[in-house]
Amino acid sequence: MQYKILPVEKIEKIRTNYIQLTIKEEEWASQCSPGNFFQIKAVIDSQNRRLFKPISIYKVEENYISFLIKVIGEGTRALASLKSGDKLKIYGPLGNSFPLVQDSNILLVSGGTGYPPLAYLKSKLDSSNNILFLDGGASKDDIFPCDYAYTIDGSFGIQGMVTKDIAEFVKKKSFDCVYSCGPISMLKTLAQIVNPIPHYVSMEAYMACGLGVCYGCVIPTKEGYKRVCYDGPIFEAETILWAEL
Amino acid sequence: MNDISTCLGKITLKSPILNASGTFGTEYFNFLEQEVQGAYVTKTITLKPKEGNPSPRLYETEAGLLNAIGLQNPGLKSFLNEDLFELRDCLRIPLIVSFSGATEDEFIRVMEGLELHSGIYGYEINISCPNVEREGIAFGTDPDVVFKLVEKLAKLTERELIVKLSPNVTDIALIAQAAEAGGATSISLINTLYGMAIDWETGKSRL
Repeated sequence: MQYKILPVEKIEKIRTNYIQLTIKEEEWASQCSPGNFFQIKAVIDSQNRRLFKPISIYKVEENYISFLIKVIGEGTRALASLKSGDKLKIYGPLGNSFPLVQDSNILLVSGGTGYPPLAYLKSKLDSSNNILFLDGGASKDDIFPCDYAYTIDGSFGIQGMVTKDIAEFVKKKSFDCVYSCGPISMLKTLAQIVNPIPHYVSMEAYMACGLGVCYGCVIPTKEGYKRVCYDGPIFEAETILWAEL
Repeated sequence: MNDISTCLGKITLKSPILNASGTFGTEYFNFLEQEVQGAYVTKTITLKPKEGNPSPRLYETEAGLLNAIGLQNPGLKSFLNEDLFELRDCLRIPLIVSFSGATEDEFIRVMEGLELHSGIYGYEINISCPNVEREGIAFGTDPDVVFKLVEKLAKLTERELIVKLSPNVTDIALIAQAAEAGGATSISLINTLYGMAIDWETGKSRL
């Protein structure tokens, strides 16, 4: 893990509110694992905001690392305004990673902005696995390639929450392992439905240092408050005290 | 390199830069050379482990970052059995341990525990925490309380004794003088400023 100021290799507008931002860094590309994230900030970002944005890795291809970013607030807006060659302040890769299983029936569930880490995970799960990938979002602009899509407004795929049909899938498919990333309410519901199947969640949190130093990004677990940036962002769902979130 | 060494009370530091307690970990030495700093100040420890506050603990405003961590730490015993060994292995610069307590007795017991161990150059006394014996009013807001506390601690150690002052007082100079009179060999300015951000839609505090 290092801190660097790097040029944006490539930046593309993917949807109305999404950009795909790519950097080229050979050493980091070889160190990344699914679930890891980077702390990123546009060099041009206002001095009024000091915090970096924790962004999960979306793709790693050869020496290139890509991030799929939804423009939500001022920090992500500053990132979206960048052009190829503009400078980024960036450090990582950070956090722990998803455990990789083999010869398993796997369920991937993403909601909201939770898609990128699961897409990266899917690319690293080997072909001995049988994978079902469900993605949910507010509308069609929030949906990315998957097996079944769910939108709240019904503009794409099945209308409703991504957790809507999971109880049925669980009955039919006998999953060995579940991986998820998304809003707390989605993860909470999912954790109840899929229990006791091993379930790994990637948690999101408002973060300052990203390195485990400041204790600003904790979540309640059976072993006390744990840092999302350092002890996570991947947690076993059964260790999280969902009722307190 | 130019000589920028300086004296801090009883100790000589090769650099006048120290990290602020709680904002800095040894992880940061991936980014910068240790020797940039004159010493390393730990996150505040307490006698018993402290769980800290529920999240959210952070909120960024245009005026700065609000935090409400609640002194989460593993407690003195764990610090002595684990962290201290790791710090002594890792550090090439002097170690200063920051600690706090909810009562005078807790401050004393933490210092007594630390005094039994080598490799510590000094202490930073965090007096911004609530004093449970005085209805939760922070130690650092009353000169008499500060004087009595520092006087007791100063008798227990020959090491550098830094008192970290709270800015949330009418006249910080009075508190500094009380710390000096009690036996502080230096003071650290300043601990976290009170602040509040309000979500105008709900009318509630962000933290």
